[in-house]
Amino acid sequence: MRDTRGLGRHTTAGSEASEFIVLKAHQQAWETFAACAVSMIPVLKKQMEAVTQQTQRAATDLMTHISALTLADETSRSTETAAHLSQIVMTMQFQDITQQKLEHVAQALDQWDKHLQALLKGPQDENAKQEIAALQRLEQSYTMEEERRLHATALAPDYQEPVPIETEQTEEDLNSVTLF
Amino acid sequence: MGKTALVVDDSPTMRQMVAFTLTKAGFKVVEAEHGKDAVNKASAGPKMDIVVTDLNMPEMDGISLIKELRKMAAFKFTPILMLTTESAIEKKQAGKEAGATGWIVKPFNPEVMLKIIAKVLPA
Amino acid sequence: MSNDFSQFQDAFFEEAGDHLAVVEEGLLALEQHPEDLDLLNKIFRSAHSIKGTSGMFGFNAVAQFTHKMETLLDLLRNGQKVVTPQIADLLLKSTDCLKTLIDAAKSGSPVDDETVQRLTVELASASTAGSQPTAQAPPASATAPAQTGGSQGHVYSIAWTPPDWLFQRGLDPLQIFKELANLGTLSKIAVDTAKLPDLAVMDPEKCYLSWTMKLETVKARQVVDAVFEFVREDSHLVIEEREALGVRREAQDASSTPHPSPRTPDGLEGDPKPLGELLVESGAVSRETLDKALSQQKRVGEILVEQHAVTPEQVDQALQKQKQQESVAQSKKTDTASIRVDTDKIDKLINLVGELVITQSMLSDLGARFEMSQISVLLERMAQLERNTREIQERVMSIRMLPIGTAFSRFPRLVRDLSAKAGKKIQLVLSGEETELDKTVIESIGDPLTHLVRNSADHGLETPEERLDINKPELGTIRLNAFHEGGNICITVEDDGRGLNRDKILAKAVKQGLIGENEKLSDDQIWPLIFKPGFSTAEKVTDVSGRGVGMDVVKRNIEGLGGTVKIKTALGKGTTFTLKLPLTLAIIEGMTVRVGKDTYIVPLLSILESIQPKASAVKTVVGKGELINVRETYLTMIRMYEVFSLQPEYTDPTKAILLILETEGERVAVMVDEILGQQQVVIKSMEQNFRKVAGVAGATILGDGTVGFILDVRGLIEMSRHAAPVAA
Repeated sequence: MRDTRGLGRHTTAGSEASEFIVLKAHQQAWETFAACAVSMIPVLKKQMEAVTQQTQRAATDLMTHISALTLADETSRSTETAAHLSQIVMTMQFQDITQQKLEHVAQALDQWDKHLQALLKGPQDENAKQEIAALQRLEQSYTMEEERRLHATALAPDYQEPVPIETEQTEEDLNSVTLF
Repeated sequence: MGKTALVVDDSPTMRQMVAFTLTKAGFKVVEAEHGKDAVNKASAGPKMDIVVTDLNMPEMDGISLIKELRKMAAFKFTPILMLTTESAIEKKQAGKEAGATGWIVKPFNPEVMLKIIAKVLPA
Repeated sequence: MSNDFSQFQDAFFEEAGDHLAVVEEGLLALEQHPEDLDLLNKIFRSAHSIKGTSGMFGFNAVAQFTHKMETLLDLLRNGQKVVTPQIADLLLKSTDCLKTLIDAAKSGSPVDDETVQRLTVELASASTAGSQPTAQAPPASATAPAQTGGSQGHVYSIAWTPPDWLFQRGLDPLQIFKELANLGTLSKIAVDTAKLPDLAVMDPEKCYLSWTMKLETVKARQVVDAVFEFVREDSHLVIEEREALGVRREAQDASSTPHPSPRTPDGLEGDPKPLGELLVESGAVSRETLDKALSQQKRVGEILVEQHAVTPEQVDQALQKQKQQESVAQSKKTDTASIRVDTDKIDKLINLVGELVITQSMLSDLGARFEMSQISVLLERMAQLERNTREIQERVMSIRMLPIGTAFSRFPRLVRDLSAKAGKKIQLVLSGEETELDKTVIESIGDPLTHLVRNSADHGLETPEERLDINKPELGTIRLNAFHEGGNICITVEDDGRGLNRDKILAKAVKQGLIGENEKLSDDQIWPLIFKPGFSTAEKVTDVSGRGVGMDVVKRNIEGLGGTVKIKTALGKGTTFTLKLPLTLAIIEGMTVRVGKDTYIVPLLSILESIQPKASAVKTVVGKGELINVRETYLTMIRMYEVFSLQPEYTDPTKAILLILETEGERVAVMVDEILGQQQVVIKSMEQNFRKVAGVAGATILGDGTVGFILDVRGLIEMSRHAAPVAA
């Protein structure tokens, strides 16, 4: 699929390498994102569970209380109160539905969690694994060059290293320092 | 009125809402969490004049409960109302075939519930 | 409230779309497997859902047309009719027609009435299964205009034969009469005992009686109907109005003889108005409450119906689809530097759950101290809780990865139509449909994929004759495959057709001036030429492909998503297009540093080096602030904690770390406490969530869940200048 023949050829190698950098960067960014999401999901689920339980408790308390108030108090049998009470009874039922929804959200999050973890594990296909490995080897060699360059620059400002193809910075830039 | 209602639903909130509505209307309410619980309470308890049950419950669901109740002499002709959602057509049909009298749509308006009960419950 | 309602309408259109897809897919599959009962049930249920919900929203044309389809589908699934190719074709055409009706309801687009009429008639005639005493009150009465003035007196003559199991379901005819009597004046009750058998053989638990009676009432017809609500479907019931205005004689038939009925949906058909409407009319419930209840109910219904085993697909279906403008809108913004950000979604989710927790505690607060005067507060808090939950659902929905199968779903139909039109024999093979990717990405790849498939069908594959001539099987194959690889998703569109013609392409490219006449190009350099705008070697132009408009758009679309398109081809053998898409989009490479308790990310590209200075290297110059000597060059030193007002660990530069940064030709030394490491981070825009923060280019969520700020080096420099005691 991917032509990794030698970095020697200028044009193709340059664009290939940068293309690789981009794709590799995507992959790693994806992993960052996925890992973060995976760690957040259990937290979110717990919070939602807590909300569900507490809402149920709150609803029960309130209704018990309202029951006591209305059944005991004759004057509260006005039509207005009756209408209010009807509304409360209906609204409380919505709450029940809301709780169910939260449960479904939790299930969906679980699903997403599993899915992300599967993706994080990476490709299973042999071919794909080899491709990725080859690309990683390429990257490693690249990183070392970068490090070497920085290190060398720090030690000896006049150090002349053959300019790597991909870099934008030239030796000129490194040597010109603006004094203010 | 002096009538007793059996209210079956696995959601405590729903049970509470139905119980509240019926109690205010003068019913005595016996609650059950699921079909099995309901059958036990139905066999053990006082005479029940009406049953209001949800369909989706653990242990024994509403449809099975209705079938069981209809086998019991005391519940052969007792009005049994299903708490159902508007769009669950198959459930309504299954409920009817199991012997349900009618249905109340969820979420229910307490006034509507009482009207429907009045419809099926001889005074 | 009207706001709420339109929200639900949008949800309806989305769901209707999904149901339509199920119907179409199912019908296509049904063509291959006409005996598949599960398939028929699935199709029926979806059609049924569309009917029900469209009715609820008042889209009567849709509801009625769907009802016709549903009637036929019901006969099919009950085995009363057999699936023939003509029926399958009719249903497919009807599905198309239904699409136009729904679109019309949504956006007022035109509808071909003639087609609607024709198909309605065809569906009806296909549905005549002998003894179907159809309750086909013509559409006019199904949408009976509201009764004109409830104060008009009506006289109804009612004939009712209940089913024999009446008592066994706890029903009592006396109750019904009582209820009728409450509506007005019930008279002339006559009982028919003709069916009553001998006492010896009579089953006391069965009902053998039937009645006729006369009812005078001011109540509307629907109210009278409602009395029979629980028995209507299974009874023989005739309610005729006599002597009313304009002598309207309305007959209402039962849908079946009193026996455990074959399941017909016609029980609902008889309702001129659903129960909800009755409640509103009788004042039992306000329109607002009803609307809210109905839309809520429907969702619950969906949820409840789809239980049993918990598979991802069923959980997906249980969660309701609602608007996700934000993520869609965001995804449309394409900026090459930092594009759409996915971490937004989880951040928002985190925020929302936080809000939910707070709202819940406000509810709990009311508790035992609640007084009746606080009812409105209670109702408001519960409504808030409900809103929060709904928003969370939206968020989770928008995060949700969907299987790419949903993007593939249009292709079987497309290929079927294309092959018919072109007179070719084409089979479509799909694989990897379960491969998942971000919902918004799926939405974006539909068009490019369609173009590639069309291209294969129109130009890639040869005619059956041509294929036979070169010893290929008559049946051409197009393969769509999807799979994950690393942080990417790969989608391939492969055909076993002609393959790309190198010479033709070269010639065309030269002709269009894209390359020089004598340029030597490798194959890999030639194939991508077809992506140039305006390029097409097709001899014929079909309606979409061949005009050379498509391929460059495909490439641009995919690249806009951060992906790539590659071509593999062999003359005479076929062509494969490979689309590679990244799973997320906006990143930078950064060095993570710490200042006090805060984490910052410094773009790696701007870091030249890092040092720990010696005391002698640090100098303070009047009018210039602090300088640091780096290899005989003096750079300005910026104490990051000062600029951002943070609490650092070190204020002594010799104990801290200095990062030598460069931006736009300028170099500075920035002091931080510690270097933590290097990583790729996904950028999250500050502006979108808060406001523009000076010195900060964005933020990100780090692996441990904390927030890290991405340093804007230029901004930092500006800020330090302005803060300097001696202004520049």
